[in-house]
Amino acid sequence: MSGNDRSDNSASALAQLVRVRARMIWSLSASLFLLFLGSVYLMTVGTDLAETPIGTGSAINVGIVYTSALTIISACVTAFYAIWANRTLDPLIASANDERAADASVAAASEAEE
Amino acid sequence: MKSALRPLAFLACHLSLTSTASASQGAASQASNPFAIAIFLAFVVTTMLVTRWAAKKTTSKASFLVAGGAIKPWQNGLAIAGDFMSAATFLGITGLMFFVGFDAYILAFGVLIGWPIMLMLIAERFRNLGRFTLVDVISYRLRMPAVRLLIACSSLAVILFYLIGQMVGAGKLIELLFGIDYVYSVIAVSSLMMIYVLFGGMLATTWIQMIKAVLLMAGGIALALLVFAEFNFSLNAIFAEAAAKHGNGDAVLSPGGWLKSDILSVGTVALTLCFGIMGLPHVLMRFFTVKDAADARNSVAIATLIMALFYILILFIGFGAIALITGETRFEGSDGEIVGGSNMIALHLAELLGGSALLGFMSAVSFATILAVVAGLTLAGAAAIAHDIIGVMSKDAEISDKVQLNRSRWATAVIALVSLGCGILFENQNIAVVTAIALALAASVNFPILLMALYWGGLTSRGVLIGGWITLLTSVILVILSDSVWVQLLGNPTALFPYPYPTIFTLPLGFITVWLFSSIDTSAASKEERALFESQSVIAELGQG
Repeated sequence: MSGNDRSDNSASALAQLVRVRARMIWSLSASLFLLFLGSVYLMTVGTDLAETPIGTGSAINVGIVYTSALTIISACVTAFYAIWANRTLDPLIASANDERAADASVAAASEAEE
Repeated sequence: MKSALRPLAFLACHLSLTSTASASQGAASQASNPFAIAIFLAFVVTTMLVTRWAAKKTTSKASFLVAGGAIKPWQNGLAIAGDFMSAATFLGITGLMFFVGFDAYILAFGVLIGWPIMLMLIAERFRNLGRFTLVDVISYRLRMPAVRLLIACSSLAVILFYLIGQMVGAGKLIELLFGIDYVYSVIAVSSLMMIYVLFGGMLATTWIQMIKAVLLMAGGIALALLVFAEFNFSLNAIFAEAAAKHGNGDAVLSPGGWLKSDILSVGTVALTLCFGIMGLPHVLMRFFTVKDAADARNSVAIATLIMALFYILILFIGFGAIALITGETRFEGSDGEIVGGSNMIALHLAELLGGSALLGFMSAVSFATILAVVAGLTLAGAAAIAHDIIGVMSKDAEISDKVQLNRSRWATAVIALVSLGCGILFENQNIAVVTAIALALAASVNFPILLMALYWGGLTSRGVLIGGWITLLTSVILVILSDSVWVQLLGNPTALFPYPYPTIFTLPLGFITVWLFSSIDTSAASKEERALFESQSVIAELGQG
């Protein structure tokens, strides 16, 4: 009975980890790739926009701002993900692993009983 | 014609150095610069001491190839960043920006955007599923030996082409910087690299990469600050002056100077840069040098932050070079061209702003960085031969660790000698060709197969084999039909394939063919492989437990 409970918990801890992680990594990766496509747009059909100065008399244009912002955004996403994963994923991984170990020992014990 | 070829050659700058029309023009040798010699000698002595220390700890195959997983995340982060902030990136992007302006910056942000994606989608799963190489991860459930062989061959091809590009670039650069003959330059690089890797293995290679990364960052920061100071710390003034000085005027600040705003050209370069890094064996191998997946995650994060800072600095240094070097007659030869060609732009800027001390420092760091990068590549090549190919054929588990270590050392020597030979053989080759092949293969073959191996349960050995070979051969054929081989090497008037990289076609081809041939695979082996995906997913999420 308790063995069954544990295995349900294990499945749900692992399932929660998979769900939380997948949602974060795929949505952030897709967003970054879309932003990257934005730079491809500016370098091809959107050159007029890219050439637009960011203010009157300014030499700096939208293209320069967008691509350097892309560099900074990449850094921010990286830092955010690493901190988030260290805080949120690692405890989830640890508890899923604990349950995996507990399941394994329960399974071994029931095998021994049989 | 020469100007038309220039962009292609420059593309190789990103990861290695141009060999075209640079050394022959230049008389800017640093042979007499005492700073350059002193700093370089100090680097060699330090790294030899590091190697001696590391050699004592290099006693097994695991310590030789992946430093026993004992590298700290911050160390590995610095080393990964070191792999990418090569002299080539620094000198190459600055040089390209000097001539074509804005478009060159795609070589920086295009790669950087790939790093967080690799961090999130690949780094942790990859670390959890393997021990030494890319092949370990892909063959976790695809156990057909032919799959191992395909991935090992494609890894080896990427490494060798990449290594040849680095070697030729290194020889040319050292010839230019220190006035040493090309052949001796290549021999010097090979010999030093072989000592580092043979004796110190991954531990020494990592430390050398770290030392170099710190030196290069220091140089880059100093140079960027000096550029800023020249313009009273006004960002706008740098760009305004660049537009005023450059022959193209305001257009230098806008897209189109290099890739001509052509959607397929921009797209293929973008895809190659962004996804090429995710298939580079020597970068992926670095994930195994740390303790676990969390450390792999943190090391990639640290590397990305360092590189982001560096690439922002490159933007200022590049446009600063246009603003400050253009019209400086002392950097122009009698023909009005820049002395030493594009590779020397950043070094001219160093001399202009920091005198011979900064010039010497940056020259020595450039040499150091080449050594560090070729060392890492050689180690990855040794792993492909010793662990992936020979190791599997002879069933590693039955062979003592000492034999495996020796085998890895022999493989190192073989890779070093092959790259030395190729470096000398390909002296006058346009290295854009070899670098294009390396990156296109990494992005088109390794990356799709790796991503599907990690995330798609339907993947089968047969799908990987048929799809992988089709993509590999198509990539090579398209490179042969492109400008760099068809026109420059074979002398035909026009290229049959008009883009610098085949990736915009071959990357989707890789995904589609591998997916298709896996989907229609109904063999008994494929059923077993699909059934293994569930347990692989648990290990990928949680580690080996």
